[in-house]
Amino acid sequence: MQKFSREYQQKLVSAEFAANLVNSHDWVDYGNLTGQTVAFDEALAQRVDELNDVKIWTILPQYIPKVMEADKTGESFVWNSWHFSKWDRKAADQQRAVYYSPIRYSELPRYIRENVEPIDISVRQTTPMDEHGYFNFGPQNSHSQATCDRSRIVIVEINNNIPRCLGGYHEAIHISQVDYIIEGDHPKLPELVPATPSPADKKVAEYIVNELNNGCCLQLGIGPMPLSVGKMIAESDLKDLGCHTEMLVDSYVDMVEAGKITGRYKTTDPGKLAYTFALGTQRLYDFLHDNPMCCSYPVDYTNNVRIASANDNLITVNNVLEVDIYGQVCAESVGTRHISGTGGQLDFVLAAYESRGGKSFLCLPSTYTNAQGNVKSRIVPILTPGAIVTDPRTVANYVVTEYGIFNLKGKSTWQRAEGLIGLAHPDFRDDLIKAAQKQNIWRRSNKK
Amino acid sequence: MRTYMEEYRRKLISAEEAAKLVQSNDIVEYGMFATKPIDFDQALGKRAGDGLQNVSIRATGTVLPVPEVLKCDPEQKSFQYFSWYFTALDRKAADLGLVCHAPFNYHEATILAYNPDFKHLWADVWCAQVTPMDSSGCFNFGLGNSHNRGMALNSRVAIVEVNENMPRCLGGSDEYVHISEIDYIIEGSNPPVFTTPPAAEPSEAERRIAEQIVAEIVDGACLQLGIGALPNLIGNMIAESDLKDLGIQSEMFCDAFVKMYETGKITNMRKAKDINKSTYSFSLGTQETYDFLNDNPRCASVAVYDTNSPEAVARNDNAISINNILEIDLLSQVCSESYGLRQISGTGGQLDFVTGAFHSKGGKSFLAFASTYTDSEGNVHSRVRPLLTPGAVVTVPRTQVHYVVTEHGMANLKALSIWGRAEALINLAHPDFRDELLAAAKEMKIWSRTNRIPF
Repeated sequence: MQKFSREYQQKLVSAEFAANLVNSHDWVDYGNLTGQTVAFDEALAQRVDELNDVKIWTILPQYIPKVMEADKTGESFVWNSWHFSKWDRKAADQQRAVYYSPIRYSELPRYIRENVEPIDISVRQTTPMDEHGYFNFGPQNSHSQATCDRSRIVIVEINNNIPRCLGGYHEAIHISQVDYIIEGDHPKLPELVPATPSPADKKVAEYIVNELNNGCCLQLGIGPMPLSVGKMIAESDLKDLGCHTEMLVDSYVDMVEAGKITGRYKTTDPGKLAYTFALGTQRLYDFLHDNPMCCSYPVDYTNNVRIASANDNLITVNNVLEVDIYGQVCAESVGTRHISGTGGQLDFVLAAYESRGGKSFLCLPSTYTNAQGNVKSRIVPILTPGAIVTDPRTVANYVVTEYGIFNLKGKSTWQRAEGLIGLAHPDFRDDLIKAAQKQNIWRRSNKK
Repeated sequence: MRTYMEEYRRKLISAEEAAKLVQSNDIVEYGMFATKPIDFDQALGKRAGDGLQNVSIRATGTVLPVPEVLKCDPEQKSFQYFSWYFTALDRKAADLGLVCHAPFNYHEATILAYNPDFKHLWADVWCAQVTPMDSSGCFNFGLGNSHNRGMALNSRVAIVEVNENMPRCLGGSDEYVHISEIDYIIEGSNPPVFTTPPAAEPSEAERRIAEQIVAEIVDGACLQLGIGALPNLIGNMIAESDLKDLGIQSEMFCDAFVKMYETGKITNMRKAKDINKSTYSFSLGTQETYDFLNDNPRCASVAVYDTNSPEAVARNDNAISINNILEIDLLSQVCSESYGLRQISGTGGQLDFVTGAFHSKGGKSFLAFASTYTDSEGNVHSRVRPLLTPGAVVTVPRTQVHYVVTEHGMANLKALSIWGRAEALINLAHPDFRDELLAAAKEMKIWSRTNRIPF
């Protein structure tokens, strides 16, 4: 610390000073998830009337930025998100200047290095500097290093509450690569608490847990259903599980504390939980802090199909929104309304099938209730117009609802129609069969 | 969040109580290099002759202080001592018949520690010095990652000896053991951690060797350096060169790396794995090096398999490996670990890196030596010899040798014929010895009469 204190003092500026570095038409990166800038954002929002066409990158933001509150017209600030959170969704619903940027998450660091327009300024929250001059990115490694490498000006915003997430690699940036330092107000990290699992979630989780073996390597996403899976595993007889995931969630803490995760049979990072970002409660962030059992990697490592699939029995569990009876899977939009993003889902569906003994589970409750109170099937004859195919039918492996589990691999169209209709809510099956007949993918001999 | 203090208190015992857990016929694994237990060893040494019999102590690179199990039991009534890798201390004790060498290719240590095929060799009791427990309930192996974790997990009784002076060396892989994975904790007397004396001044011969090797290194190369004056000199030369973006993947983290960091030579940005990090499996050096390593995210301590396995070495492009050898014969067989029957060091990672570097795109291994040495009677001998000294152990088979370097030049032996090798090696020998080597080569019928051999 001593060694770098002079450089630190030289680079230390106020948030206002940093915000004044932004020019109209600039590209600005706001940092990722819970590490998105706070102090800089407040200062930049003050400049709403002076600036126009400032384009901002973010991914899965966990709070509404002040720049978006300040700019009702979208003339000053344009928001570009690599993965929508509920805040993005809300803003987009209000016709604000909020746009999704499609990614296959494993490829994102390369987009940043090779394909995006040059980034003028990047700002992200980090831990305080350590004695070797490093600022740790906390639970959002993702594409942080790539972004800093591509930015003309690199700014870190210190937050004492950010856990120090050990590598892996690319988990920290050295002061020599940083242009300015802001000392923020040290806000608490936003927490994401999954909803209480429904009976359907629990049933889905049961199907999945039944498919697991000792020593398998898990990728779990967020939501009530993965939460159920984690809880059930914690209470099961399973042992020696591993974790190689894009996202680290509270379920993993449950499983570690129950002694279920040893990582003994992992090929990559044996003994450790490998992840690229974490999102959950303070308990998860406390668990991560300085914990050598966990290793933070850039997303082109965790989500790299070759690396993830090097682990035998890779089990990946993800939520989807809609599946048509051909097996096309939409996990990111309802019609043209954008909900989340492709994220790492496709990466892990591909990786699990490449892994010896691996399986991917795409999960959904069979129905949902719309705003008008009508119950709708999530298994549909054809995807809602405008729906984005997240996982092509050639790639999807297991689909799971509360009515069962079905493996699409190797199945003909009529077999898929029969299998997927079997996963639908019974109230919708007759209509689905009629549609299948009309679409000419129903055999007379099919079971009803 | 969960704390581990209750479990810590339950597992805390004195060194004497820990030593009592050792039974006759046990295998006891000591921590590697600077993680060798101190208090536990003292307590165990006191048990010499108390009826304890046939206890096998297994160490790796024994450093000072002299183990009490050796000092207290010169007649080996209770203990026999084995070492996977010889240091000066092991050598001296072996001269007294107290230590036996156990050969391995160093990367295989991880396999031996984990693969159930070697269950019969797993330790009954394992004990190593570690850092104090962190908030996650983990003890860090500090300066000796090596094969400590595998040995700890697979021993009957695993004991950590906490030393507050042990640097915390971030991973990497296998750099810690969790409290739930061990049986007992000793709070040691916190002695200073073993440090090496500063490297000797390099000789003129070493300077000329270093110059030739540094000239072969390209930007972005991934380096392995060993211990001693020559690697230190090479590190210093690199630090002052125009080279850039070098990477480190080395079994040992040595003092010279710190110097290379200070002049900005090391970025590790072109490595295939552990990008931006120097990976190593143990460190021996000065306190300055240990302070550099402590809690430093620029370096990653990994299981020895991850630094040394030929596949791990080969996955980086331009892997450069530099090691010392003791003698080479005209058949190009290399001995790096013994003078005749006297064991000096061990195979260690030399063969691992020679093999791996050749498989790396652009990779090269250099086996370096001063062409002569002077014995204790003042006689000068050539290290290039017609045949290896009887009893010498072949560390690198002639099929594997790549570059050989002395102060008189450098030769790439790959693909050379026997005649070609003999000629190349004679040219690397000291001029005073070339005539007799030539005569020997003729006698051995490995000398070309035509002098027109293409390779």
